Amino acid sequence: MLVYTIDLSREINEGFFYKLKQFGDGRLTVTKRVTEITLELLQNIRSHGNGLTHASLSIIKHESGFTWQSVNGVSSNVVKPLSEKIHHINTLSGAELQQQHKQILANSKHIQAINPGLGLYRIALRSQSKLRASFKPLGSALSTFSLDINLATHS
Amino acid sequence: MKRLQIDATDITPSVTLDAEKNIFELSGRSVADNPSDVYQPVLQWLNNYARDPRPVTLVSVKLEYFNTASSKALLDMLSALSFIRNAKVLWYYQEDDEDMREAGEEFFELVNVPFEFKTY
Repeated sequence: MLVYTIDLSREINEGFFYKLKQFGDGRLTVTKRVTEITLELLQNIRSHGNGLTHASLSIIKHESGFTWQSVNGVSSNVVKPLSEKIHHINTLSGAELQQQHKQILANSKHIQAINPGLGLYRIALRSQSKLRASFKPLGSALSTFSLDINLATHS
Repeated sequence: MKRLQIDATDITPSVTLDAEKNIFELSGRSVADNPSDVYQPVLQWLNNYARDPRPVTLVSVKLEYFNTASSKALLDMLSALSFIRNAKVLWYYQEDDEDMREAGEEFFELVNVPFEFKTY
């Protein structure tokens, strides 16, 4: 088992892509999915997390694939809608995920910014697994959001 | 029309839009949290070019990675091509990279521009 803990204080650079390539299993599809899921989790932490104080991101490589453990702070008032969104994503089939991902992207034509949920759809599509989320209160206004993702690489 | 050249960084793509030399290319990685620094001038250039385009415009898109923050910017860019007569997207993906091909197909379904899918 190998663990790669991402240094969240560093910007993404060539070394980041190189390390993830080394961390993969040599197959292009796997390397690309590992990188894409990591990029989406990083984007989630940076754009929607509540600073880096409570944030961490690790990738575990094991015999059946890869597991990501992502943690970041979120405002407590987003816990309910975020839980509901993740629950909804977990009820969708692959085809439904694809369809809703496309619909959200299409709807983004008419708004300024991208829908923050789109990254979760993409993670679910690329990992082809359920999103495992949990929340823990950190006082009244803040909670930690833990998200575990699995990517099975058996073929 | 003045050429637009944006050099690639580790997280943003290179862009060459050169009407005189008939080169229209976007390639590399597009994974910045805020990609508008790259795509805003591209959109502006394409909107100006649409007024007097070449008879045929082939736009090569060869991305290694793009994140969801770039998805909207890419969609906006590809949508802008629908205002250029006889524009076509050449969507490149690595052989075996079906995810990148599917991403291209998704964009194709969302914009009114023909796509040709090519491996490299």
